[in-house]
Amino acid sequence: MHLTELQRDAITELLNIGMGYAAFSLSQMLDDEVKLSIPSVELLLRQDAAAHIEADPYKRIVAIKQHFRGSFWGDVFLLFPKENSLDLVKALMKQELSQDMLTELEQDALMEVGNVILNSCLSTLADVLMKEEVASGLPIFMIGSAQEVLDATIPLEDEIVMFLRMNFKLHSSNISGYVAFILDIASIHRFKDSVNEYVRQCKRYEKKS
Amino acid sequence: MIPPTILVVDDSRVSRMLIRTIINHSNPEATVIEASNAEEALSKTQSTDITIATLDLNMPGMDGLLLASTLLERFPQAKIGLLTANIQDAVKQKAEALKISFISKPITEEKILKFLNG
Repeated sequence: MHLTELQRDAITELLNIGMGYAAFSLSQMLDDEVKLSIPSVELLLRQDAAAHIEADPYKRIVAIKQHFRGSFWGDVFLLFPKENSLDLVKALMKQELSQDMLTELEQDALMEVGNVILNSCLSTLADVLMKEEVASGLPIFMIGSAQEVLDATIPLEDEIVMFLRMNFKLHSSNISGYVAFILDIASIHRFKDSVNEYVRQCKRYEKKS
Repeated sequence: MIPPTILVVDDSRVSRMLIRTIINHSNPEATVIEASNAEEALSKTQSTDITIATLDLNMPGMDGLLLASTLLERFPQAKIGLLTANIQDAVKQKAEALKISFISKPITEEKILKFLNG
């Protein structure tokens, strides 16, 4: 299985749009400029996926995961290093809170950040790519190594996963993280169909104008 | 004018805190009733009249749209806003069909005040 240059280009552009909206949401939540990387699209072997999330197999990361289901399906993740998660909570709450209170609110606050970012991105993709409404589950909060996070997600029988990834970084603090989509093999085919349809529409539009 | 009673339903405690802070700043007289899910919202409003409600869409149990239609049966005059990060056209249309406001998350002071005062 591979992606043509045009398919790759279309996916990258859609991720740019989706994450653009997500970055706008995040910047509103945190009153800070959010910088985005160039999106990457890769087809990976299951066992290689964890290393793409974090090179250090023991490093603890925070993951907020949401399952989605529409004309294609999969899991979307917001991931960031555990060590700057409290900074993110502080930036979100916009009021002085004790360390105890910050820690108490950490999981709830991060899930809400995840909910907003993942849904902004997902909704944009759904409106462009899916003919039907995409249903998303409630966000799930996880802390662990990249391998532990993925083991809890990718079904063992899946050998190849599609990994879409885009990094973000806040301008005035060292908070950074990224959003990753993981699609399994059956879903990749459906996703490619949707992308092809989108490319066809773009071509028709190009001819008209 | 009688101060409004505002129902704030969201499974995220942080979201409820943000909304409450914004309401308290703008109208310290307002009564805020918080609930973390639809069932709690319905039981807490059994003996109270509400004038305004902000409802999260995606919650465990009954979702915000279903809660909105239940609340509208009991409080037909209430001003209801559906608050969600799920900004798909399909969701906006469902809110429109119920004649309730659609407020996109993230929660900002500007959006909440516009809804409360609009």
